[in-house]
Amino acid sequence: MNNAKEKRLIKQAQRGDTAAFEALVQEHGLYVYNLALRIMRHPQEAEDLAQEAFLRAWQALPRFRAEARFTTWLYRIVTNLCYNRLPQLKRELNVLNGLDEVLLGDERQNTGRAYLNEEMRRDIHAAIDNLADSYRLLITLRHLQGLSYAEIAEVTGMPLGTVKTGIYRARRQLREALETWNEIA
Amino acid sequence: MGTALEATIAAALDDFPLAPLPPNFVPATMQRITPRFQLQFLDLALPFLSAVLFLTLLAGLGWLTGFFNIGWLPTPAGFSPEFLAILSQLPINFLVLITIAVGAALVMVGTVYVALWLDQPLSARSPAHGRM
Repeated sequence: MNNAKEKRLIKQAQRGDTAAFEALVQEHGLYVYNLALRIMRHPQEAEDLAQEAFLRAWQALPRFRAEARFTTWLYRIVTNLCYNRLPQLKRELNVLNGLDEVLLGDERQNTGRAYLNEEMRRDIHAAIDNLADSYRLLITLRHLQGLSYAEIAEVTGMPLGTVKTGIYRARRQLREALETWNEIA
Repeated sequence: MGTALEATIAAALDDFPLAPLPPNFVPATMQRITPRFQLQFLDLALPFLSAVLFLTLLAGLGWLTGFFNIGWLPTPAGFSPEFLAILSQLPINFLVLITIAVGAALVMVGTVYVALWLDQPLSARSPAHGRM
């Protein structure tokens, strides 16, 4: 869906057009559900949370400002619902807040060789599933949803430094968990 | 993060597979946003009780004033004659009875209407849908 079409649908939905909102649910449902699933780790709970997020989005839509990015706003609603259901998630992020900020480059600039076979892929995905909730949230927002660090800070309501520290530590944990692959890769 | 392992991790993170949406996710979500009204027990019980209350009051008033002679009830002998005299002066007639019956019917319809309105989503109640 292009930007202009999405803006038009949002305006129509703000006027109470449920068909327009349904189109937005169609468009963003998959990502909202997967974000919820990564954090909740339970399909039924994730489905309920994703539906609740859309319900809240519908109710709050008249207050949505056109200059904001719709996905960021939507993911913020999902994240707030995750905070409500997993109280330790916010606590974990707050703990990161007190740690030293790290200098983090853009991993997408990485020029290393990325050889990935099925077994490695499975192990890495399992390692992601075993990360702490806060790290999984940050990593998911960064990689699954493709948000910038600033956008993740906006979605989670955390300072930029906390986001960078969290993502750095999450990657370091993954690296440690997958050290055995180092020689193979 | 320049090592091959780190590049591998970054690649794996980027192609983390998306789980498919549960079947009926979109219709179920829309159903939560605009639920269809379904008649429930309370929607019928409340108007019924309201109507019974009005009709009981009506019958009681008629019985007290002597307008109704309800066979299986004793005559209102326990009241003082002055009170009964005052009641008998009340302008109870068929017009009043019909008015009260229509009132009872209106209360029934009104109760169902309020139940329907309350069951609607916020968005359908006002143009500025959405007050969180």
